[in-house]
Amino acid sequence: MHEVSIANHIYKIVLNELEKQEKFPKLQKIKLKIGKLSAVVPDALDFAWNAIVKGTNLENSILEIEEIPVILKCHDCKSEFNIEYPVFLCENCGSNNTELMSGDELDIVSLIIDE
Amino acid sequence: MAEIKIVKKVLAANDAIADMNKKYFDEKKILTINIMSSPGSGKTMLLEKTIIKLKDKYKIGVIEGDVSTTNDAERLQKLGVEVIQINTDAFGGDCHLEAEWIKDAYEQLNDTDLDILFVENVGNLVCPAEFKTGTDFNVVVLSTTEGEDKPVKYPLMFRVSQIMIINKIDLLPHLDIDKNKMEDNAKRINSEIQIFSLSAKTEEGLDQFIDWLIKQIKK
Repeated sequence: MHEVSIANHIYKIVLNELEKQEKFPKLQKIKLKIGKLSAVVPDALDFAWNAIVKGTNLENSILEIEEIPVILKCHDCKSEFNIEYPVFLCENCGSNNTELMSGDELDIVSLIIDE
Repeated sequence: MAEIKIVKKVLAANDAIADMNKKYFDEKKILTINIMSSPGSGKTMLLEKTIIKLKDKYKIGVIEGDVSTTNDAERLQKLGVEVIQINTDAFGGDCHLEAEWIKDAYEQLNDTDLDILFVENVGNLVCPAEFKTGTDFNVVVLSTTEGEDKPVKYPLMFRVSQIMIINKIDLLPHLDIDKNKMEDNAKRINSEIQIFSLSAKTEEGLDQFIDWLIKQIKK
């Protein structure tokens, strides 16, 4: 549901970035990294993006979303592992002394433009 | 084709304002509490009962977030505390509050010299978890009728919250829910989350939460 807000935040950042260019370029693609722990649904974000850019000079640009797995590190047994299910305990020793290494990203990585 | 590297958090602007809010409220020594939950979990009644217990000794303000209507704000205003309503339908019906709106709403208060500022976020277990507000504590309210697996279904909400309140414990005799399992599920998502079990309606267990709140007051 909040994908419209997220898309708006992306729009502001991208517009600001493109306005820094000498000549406003034609935007092809935005590369994003979205962690699986973040509450963003890629399809909904895609839908929101298309709605927001319609009629603007970012129209027809697309989002390329790389989903980032949730990786935990255990500070007790030092193992690092990928979790599919939201249990933040060490799958090796059961410790709760774990740290999230990745999976909460909501980042813009780069913009692909026509030269 | 060319690639412009940016590497920027999408919500960097919101995070920056949240950090400013936190710094500002720290300087003013205002305890700030962001209350989040699904709709109907009893956030507003919990706030009503909490305010009644604290308002004679402490100066309290409330920022009330709803998609539309001022019903909740009116309930709280009756208690004699100042309430600023944010209706997000003006912002496109958003399901959460953003840090900037918190700042703007706070600035609308006639009396900003508070002991406690409560933020009642929009009822939703997904979206508010993604947007920092700059409050001292995120409190997630989960009522017993919602089932024990909500933490597993909405892990981000339970990761970003420091406090979990299990509300409506007066209904437990009528439900099949296993409250211990609900607590376990939350602890498996966030081992440091502190849990209070209470009934805002009967006030059973409410005093433990009130005592905890009073200990956090900065003045």
